[in-house]
Amino acid sequence: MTLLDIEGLNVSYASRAGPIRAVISADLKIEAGQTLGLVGESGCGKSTLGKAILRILPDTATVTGSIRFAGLDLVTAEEPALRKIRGRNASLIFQDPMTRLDPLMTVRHHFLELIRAHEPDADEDDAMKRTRRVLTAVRIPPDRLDQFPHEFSGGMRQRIMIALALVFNPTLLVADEPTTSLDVIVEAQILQLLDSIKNEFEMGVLLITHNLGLIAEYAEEMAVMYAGHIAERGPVRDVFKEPLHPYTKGLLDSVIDLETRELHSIPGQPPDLLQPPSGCPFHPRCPSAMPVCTGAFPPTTRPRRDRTVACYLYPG
Amino acid sequence: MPRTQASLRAYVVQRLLLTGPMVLILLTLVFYFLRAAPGDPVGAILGEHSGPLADSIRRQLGLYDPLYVQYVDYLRRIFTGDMGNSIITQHSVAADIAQRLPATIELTVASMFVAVLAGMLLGVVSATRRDRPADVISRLVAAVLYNTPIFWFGIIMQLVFAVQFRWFDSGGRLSAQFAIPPRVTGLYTIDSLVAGQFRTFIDAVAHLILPALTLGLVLAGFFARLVRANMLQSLQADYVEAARARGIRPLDVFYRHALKNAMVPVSTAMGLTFAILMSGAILTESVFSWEGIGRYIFTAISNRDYPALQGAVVYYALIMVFLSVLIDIFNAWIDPRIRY
Amino acid sequence: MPDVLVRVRDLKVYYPLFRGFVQRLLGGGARFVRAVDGISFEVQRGEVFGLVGESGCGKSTAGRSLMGLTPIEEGEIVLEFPSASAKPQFIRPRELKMACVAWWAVSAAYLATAIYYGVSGSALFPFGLVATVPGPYVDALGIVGSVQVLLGLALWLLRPWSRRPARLVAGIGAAIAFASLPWGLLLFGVEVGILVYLGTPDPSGLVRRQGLLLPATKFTLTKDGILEGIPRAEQQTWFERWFIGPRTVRTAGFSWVLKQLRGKVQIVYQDPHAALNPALTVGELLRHALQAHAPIAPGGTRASSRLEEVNAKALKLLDDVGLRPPDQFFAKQSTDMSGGQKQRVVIARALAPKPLLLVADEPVAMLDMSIRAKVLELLLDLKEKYGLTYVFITHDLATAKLVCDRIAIMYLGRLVEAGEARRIYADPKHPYTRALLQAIPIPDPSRRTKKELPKGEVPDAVFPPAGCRFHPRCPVALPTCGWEGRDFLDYLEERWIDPSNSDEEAALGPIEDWKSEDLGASRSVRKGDPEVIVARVQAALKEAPKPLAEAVDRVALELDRVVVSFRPPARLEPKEVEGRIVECLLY
Repeated sequence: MTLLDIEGLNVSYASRAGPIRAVISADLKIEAGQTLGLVGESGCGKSTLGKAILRILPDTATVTGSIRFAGLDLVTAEEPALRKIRGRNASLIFQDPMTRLDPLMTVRHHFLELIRAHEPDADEDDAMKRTRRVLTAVRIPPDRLDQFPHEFSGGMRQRIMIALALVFNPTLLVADEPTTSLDVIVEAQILQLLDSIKNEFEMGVLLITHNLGLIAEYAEEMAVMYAGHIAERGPVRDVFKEPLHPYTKGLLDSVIDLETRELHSIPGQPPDLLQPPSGCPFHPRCPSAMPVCTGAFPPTTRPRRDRTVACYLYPG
Repeated sequence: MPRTQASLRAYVVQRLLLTGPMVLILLTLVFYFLRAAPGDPVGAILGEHSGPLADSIRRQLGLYDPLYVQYVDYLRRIFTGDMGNSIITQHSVAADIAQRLPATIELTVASMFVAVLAGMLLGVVSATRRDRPADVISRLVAAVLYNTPIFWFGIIMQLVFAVQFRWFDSGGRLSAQFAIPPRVTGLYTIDSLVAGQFRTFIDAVAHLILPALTLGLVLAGFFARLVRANMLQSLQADYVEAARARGIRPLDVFYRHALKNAMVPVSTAMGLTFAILMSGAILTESVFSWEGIGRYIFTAISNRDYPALQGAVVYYALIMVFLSVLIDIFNAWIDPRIRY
Repeated sequence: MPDVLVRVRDLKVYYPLFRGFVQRLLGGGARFVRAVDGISFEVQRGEVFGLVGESGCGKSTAGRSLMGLTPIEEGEIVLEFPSASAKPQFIRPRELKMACVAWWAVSAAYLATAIYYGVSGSALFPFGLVATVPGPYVDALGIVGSVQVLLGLALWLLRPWSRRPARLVAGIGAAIAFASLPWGLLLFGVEVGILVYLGTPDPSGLVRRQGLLLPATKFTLTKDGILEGIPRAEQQTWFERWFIGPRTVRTAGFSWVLKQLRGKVQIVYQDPHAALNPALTVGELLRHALQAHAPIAPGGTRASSRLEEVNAKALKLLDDVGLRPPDQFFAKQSTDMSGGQKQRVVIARALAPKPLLLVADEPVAMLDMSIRAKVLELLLDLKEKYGLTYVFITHDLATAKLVCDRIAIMYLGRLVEAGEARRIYADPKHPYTRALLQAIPIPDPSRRTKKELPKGEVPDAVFPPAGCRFHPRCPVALPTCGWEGRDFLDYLEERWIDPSNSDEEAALGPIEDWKSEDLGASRSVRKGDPEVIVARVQAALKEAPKPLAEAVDRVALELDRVVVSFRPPARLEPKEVEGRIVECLLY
């Protein structure tokens, strides 16, 4: 069952120096109970895409295309309808848990506020019962409810954020670099927790990260973004075994893990989003660039089963 | 991680304990700066004369004593509530101040009210409509208000509203036809209500409007800038975005998260602004013939009335200490991170 | 030529925790974050030495301490560099000279006023003439006195040079201001005497007394500052010893010795965006670094201060770090560059004073994956080219494996395992090292495994756990590892998350009722039946992890409290195990 269906999504920000196109005609699908890993480097538009799903981008952003979720098109939906979805059908957890909880509010208040926002008539006892349930799921002692965010460690704050996201059993969880500011051991703890919760709650998860290792360990499907475009999409095993897009290849080569013997990197610098290169934005750094690459952006093709790629090396 | 429940009560006790040394330092500074300023009270009273008369007055005022003797004497007097007699009015300084203090309190509280209301309004409007016409206009208004000399603004207010339109009187606290209401607090607005004299109340408020607007609006300019800057920061904070992502209503996000967090630095600055308000009161009271401490200080300075000046400044200083304690406690109450 | 560049012995770095003034009066003294709590290691010439660990383990603090950037609580760091030039350098502290000149100016004004009013008021003699002093005289002395107080404070701020004389000046100034008497003239005489000795702006005298003779190649950093490379105490006059103290230089604050050290040890920061001043161009940034560390000629002027020379050097540096063409980058604002380019500028700036030791604090952590390798390669190339030695700080064991010759793994201020990188990666000994290695994600979807992770997070470094600091999280802990009262409370709290244990929570809780003191945990039994409580505690312990349960000495009723006490931990010492140092009771 397709949970989330994004088609032709464009997001651009207005800026003094002209529009910045952060996401360009992106197509993505997430099935229920599946983790889609969205990988890319800083500034590639992956975070913008995640926030666009819940439509919490700043006023300077323009969104076009379609995002079908829970029987609605989130691009055209009105604010009140979107508000009902946020935190209820779809939740978002962020990169830096240290700054995502209001420092002046106790943890209890965060939960009460959330529950009352969606169910104004909920009584406190019932709300607390539900809070206890999710806190148990993320292993936070419920007797710490009356503490303030600064009294918790980074990992615990991220657990609280996850608990907040789980209160209404959402069908979709967008996790935007959920462990980037955490240490490796805590990172692994949090991701294992997310994985078990995903199975328990049967959610679809969009895992946004720059770390290919995490994608390999926790995602089933993956999409690679570069300069606003989805360069390549497919099942994680297939993409790791046989990366099609030269950027994916480069990215996989530059991963440093315990078995790396030689250092590899992609030449050049990430593109300037204000003045992206013409045609395929990767062509200035691409080892197999051809004259055609500078012309127009390559069409998305389907060279293998379940795989799509946007590159002239794979004509339709 | 060991749990340290930060207690508000412990913080308050600690803050109050610190107030003692703070007052002492402040009193010492007041004493020291008044002594370091050039000029001699006796010379000011008697002109450039010197001779046995001047000498005896100096001796009487203790000006020939070594400074530390004067200092100890000064502290002893303050703690016994005796500030000496004013050289000019010959009354006891303490009595003079007690008589004038309510007028100043009435003025500053009303001005603060105007300042907070107008400042918050301008600031919040500008922050929520960033870079749109409303923001540009309110920023312009704030900048103009903030940079207006207070005495000039007062005179213009008088010219426009008292002389031209004759809506208000140009000065004083009550019109001549009303009797001063029986003293309870010394604030005419409250006293008249207590006494049930409603017409007197209206008149007292009418007299309060111009000076309070003058003083309040100038401060409002400062406030508006402060509120705007802090609101912009808290509106962009990560927890505000996170709250939106949880589907919290925009109005709730605004008040419960953004505004509340912006208030922490703003309320600290508010305490500091009170100092500006007090110094502004000196000018405002002079322009509007308002018989308060500000005017008392003004007269005292012009006449080198050391005891009076010293007494009034000490009063101001004590009020500032009191306010800063209040603000600190308020901040600790809303922000748990402050309570160590 | 020494082979060991850096020798760290039992280094402890504590940061004082800010606590309220009254709290400190009431609550038993200052508390400290024990960022580094007793570590020893050596860095060989020309190697890459890795300091590895999670955030808060003290690796960055340890690295920064090599530059004298942190206070030292205990232990010492010895840095010994091959001497580049034996020529002595004379340094004249300009700031001190300026302060002296200012002091003299004010003093002159003071004297002039005093004489002017004093003569006209015939008050030059201090005894019995008090009454004839005119008011203006009092005022004038007051003003001059207060300016002197302020100046004294300014001198005091120029620590460590003039701490004591400045205190003296401030005190004397205050005395004059308060006494406001012709006594001031007498005190003034005393001050003049002191200043004539200390602050005569005579070049030769100043250099002799205040300047430093610095062909320094060996620096010893201790609690008291830097101990060598500066004149010894016996070379000081009795007056200097008395008023200035022994000639050591505090690491915090202004000092020329420190500057010498920092010319030889440089740092590359983690966040290139924050490390570069956005108001300056790349050229300016490099020029500042080059000029600040340019050698100083005997006259006090800097040798190569000619602009063309400095610019040429800056361009060479840019070329060396691979920012080509260099003249194009020279004029750029750092804000116009990408993260990778900025980090190259940071590296170039660190190389400017020709350092011998480079502390690289997570140099690639903030960079994108696709350019990390490039920057790491650059660092390794520069090491050969400039003959550098690296202390490479990272949380990433995979990166450390690629670049480091030897590594030291830190946990909560201690070294848990240190030795040759090859050996440690091939066969990690310490349970923490194993946990770290296991937690690294493997970029191969066909090799997914369920990981056995340590529980919880790194504890608070203000109250580190007893015994081995890793024991509360350790999967293979022993009963002797240092179990204590709070471990029991943590166990209870964790247990009570499960609703199935709610009746136990009702009988024993809430957790706030429990107190933990070192080896024991206790709770009042006034509420409820003591027998039941003891039985409950014993039942809970029965289900506890084995090492915790076995470490319990006894569960007993003492007066009205139930007390759970633990046996003291076994002594923990670093041991040599298969060619590396390990701090663990398993070995």
